[in-house]
Amino acid sequence: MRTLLLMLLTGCADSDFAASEAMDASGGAELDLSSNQLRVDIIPSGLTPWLEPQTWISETDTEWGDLRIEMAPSVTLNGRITGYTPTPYGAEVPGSDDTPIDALVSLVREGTITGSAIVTDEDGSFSLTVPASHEYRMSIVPGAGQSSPMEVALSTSITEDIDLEEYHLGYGVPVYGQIRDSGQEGISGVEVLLEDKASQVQGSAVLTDEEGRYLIRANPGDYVLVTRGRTGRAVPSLRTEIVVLEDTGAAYDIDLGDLESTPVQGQVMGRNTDEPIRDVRIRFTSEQLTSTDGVLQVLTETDGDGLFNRNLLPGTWLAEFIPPFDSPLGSTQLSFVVADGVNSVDLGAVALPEKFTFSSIALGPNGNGVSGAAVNARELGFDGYIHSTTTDDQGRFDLQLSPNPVSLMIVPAQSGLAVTHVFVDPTGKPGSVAMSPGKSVKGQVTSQGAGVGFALIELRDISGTLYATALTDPDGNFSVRVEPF
Amino acid sequence: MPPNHKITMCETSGLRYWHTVCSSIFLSGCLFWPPFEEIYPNEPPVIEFSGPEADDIFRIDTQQGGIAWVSVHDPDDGDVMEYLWTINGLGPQGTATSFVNGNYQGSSISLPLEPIYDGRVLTCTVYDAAGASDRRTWTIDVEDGT
Repeated sequence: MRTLLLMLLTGCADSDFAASEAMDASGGAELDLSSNQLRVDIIPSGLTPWLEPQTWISETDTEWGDLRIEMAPSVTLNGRITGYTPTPYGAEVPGSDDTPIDALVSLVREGTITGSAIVTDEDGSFSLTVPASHEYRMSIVPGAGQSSPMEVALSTSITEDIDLEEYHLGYGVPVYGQIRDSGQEGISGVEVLLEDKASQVQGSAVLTDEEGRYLIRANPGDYVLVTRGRTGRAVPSLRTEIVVLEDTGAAYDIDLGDLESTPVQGQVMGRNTDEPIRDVRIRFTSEQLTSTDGVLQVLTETDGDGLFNRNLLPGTWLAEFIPPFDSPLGSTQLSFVVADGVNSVDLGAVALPEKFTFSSIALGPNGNGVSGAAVNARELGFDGYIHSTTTDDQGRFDLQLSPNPVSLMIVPAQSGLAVTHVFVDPTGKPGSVAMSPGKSVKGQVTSQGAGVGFALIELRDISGTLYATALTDPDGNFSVRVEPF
Repeated sequence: MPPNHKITMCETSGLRYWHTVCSSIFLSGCLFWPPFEEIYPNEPPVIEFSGPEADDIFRIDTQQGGIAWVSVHDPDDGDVMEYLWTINGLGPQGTATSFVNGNYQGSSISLPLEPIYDGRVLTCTVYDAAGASDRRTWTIDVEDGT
């Protein structure tokens, strides 16, 4: 079945490959995570609604001072997904072939912003618009994983409009078993899903029945069987590598260990006010659970009295306390242990630190202050809040920050200086931020030969770290300086 | 001496004489008239461009999430902008980055693929130093089933 999908798409696209290369509008080079490629994300404005957001990747030897980026035109993939449904119209027995399938169809160029996804309509039909490109990962994930297998095709080329017409997902083979606790009792209501090992595409989750049994249909291949609890249940997420065979499928029973949970409670207060703080997001993340290799993350919020209370499994835990973005209080965290056999764990009063003013100065190579620069401080960890300001005439700036490390990105208004990144512990000595000329990145973004004006450009390294942001001028030109990477 | 300033001698009052002299010569000489300073009223910032276009749908449909952005023009030289990104029911958002590039400045926000955003309205409001503002809104559409 996978081969069929690949043939369909490759066959449709091959004839167009040469033309596409001639246009150089297929997203640039192939992604190579081990290389020093430059990744350019282009998010067009409403002035060019016919262009989709997309990523262009440079070759390793591309000259960054003269980038010629031809945006890929939009192409459409149409089709209709059908499959086997056990009870297509309520309670018909036996089931029916060729019924419309509720499925999520997605085309994604991995490691980029290129791609899109859409859910089929009642008729099983879909129409997906994406930039013409190679290296797409196409997936079809049926909503009912117990009836139809998911489909994944790697390195798919979509360079022209394609109509898949009717595409039958097939029957797949069964993957089944029981989810148990340490007492060999089946656990009901646990979510079980398959993740394609090669692509990390996840299928839809099914719920275990009253005896803890599950059934998923899959095509033969290598997968990771994932179990996870639902909101309000302390069930760890466990990942088990499995092989699904063509003839027999796969049978796997999973032991989630001891699931007897313990209430963990406390109250969040302001450090200096001693007032309870409401609406604080609390994220409990297991570091090591006592009776399983699985992991568990539990989210909750404080109530009007600053109180919280959630059931957690025995083990070592990290709790992050994150107030709303506009709160005068900052985030904090603490580690604690839920011991085996205790009735409850009281974390007591958790004090949130007050934000404080962090002052610094941005200096150019000549030692003068850099005025008018945009300063963005992203908190490391927690929810990654970003606080922004602008340097004054002397290059000085103030930010209200939590006492946690931040990544500073300073974007100079004047040409000749690079966007500068530094890690800062705001509780230490402020010092100054030295800005350097860096390296020039210039280019033009075009579509069918014409400049694409007023598009947002984000320059990243190949791992996705943001290095600089720019806006194209009316002719599609952009220019920015970055620190070498 | 300007033509409309006349010194009138009055025979009956010596004091009035000195008053007149003082008013006409010394006083006018004491007054300092600085050069006229033209006062420009503050011009509000204007969101010129954005992605998506104003009032369009902001789709988030892949694991990479979605990016919305605005670029702002403010006629007042050197005016400093402040950006506030909010989602109705969820309050201010903390993942926006501001930028300047040549003659342009703006802000972009990256939102992850989370069902909680579906159907809500994302608003970007930009304020200048005088508190004047402009705003742009989008309805968020998170693809079901993702």
